[in-house]
Amino acid sequence: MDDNNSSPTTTKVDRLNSFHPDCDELKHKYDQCFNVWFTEHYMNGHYNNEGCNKVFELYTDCVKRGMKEYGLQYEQTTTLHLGTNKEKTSPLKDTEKPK
Amino acid sequence: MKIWTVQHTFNYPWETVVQAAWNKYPNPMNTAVLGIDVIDRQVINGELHSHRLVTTRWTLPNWACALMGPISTFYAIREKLTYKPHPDDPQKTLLKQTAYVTVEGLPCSGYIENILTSKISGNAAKGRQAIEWVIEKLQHKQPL
Repeated sequence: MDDNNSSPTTTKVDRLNSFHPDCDELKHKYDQCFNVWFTEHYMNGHYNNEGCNKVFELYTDCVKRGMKEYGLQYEQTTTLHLGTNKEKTSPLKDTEKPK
Repeated sequence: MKIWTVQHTFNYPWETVVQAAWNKYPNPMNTAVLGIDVIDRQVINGELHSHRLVTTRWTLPNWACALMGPISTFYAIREKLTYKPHPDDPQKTLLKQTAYVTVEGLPCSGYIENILTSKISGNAAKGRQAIEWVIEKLQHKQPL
């Protein structure tokens, strides 16, 4: 089905990877699920996406773990700092908990 | 702060364009985008909200990097893209794209903002080509 058996350094893949290599496989599984849901369900007004929930959870857990490796906290990405004094602080030094 | 905005009409219906938008990357026009992850996604009152983490490689002129690097200045880019069915023709889609660029803490902030804005402008044009490229690709691969 896919050409992901070949070496990633020599093959031009026509899909985008995750920022963390550990999450690539889960990302592709989820993306595939999302695309089918978006085309066949969401576009027709059916908003329930429970079918993708399980793989989405595994995938986002993996991304959050990966972010930690780079010193990034997922919680920090949910806070908007633009236009506030926080805008000029580095996310890596910011220890304040989000609201 | 510098605001940049542009409108563009795609000769494809809205459904086709938004599906291509989700599959925009990777494309040969915007090679700086290395990865996109979804970290949160939910449907609220019929609206699909996606919170995504985009990994990019931005290239600035050498002197700008030299200047921005040691002073560790921050710059912020907020981008908004709106795809709507064309009011006069349902077979077309209208894209409105806005970027807000802010550079703080440098005597020549305005100058750097101009450089970033022209960079955004160039990338956005490539982005529109990319959407068309993806649509062509999707239409040849499988009917949407």
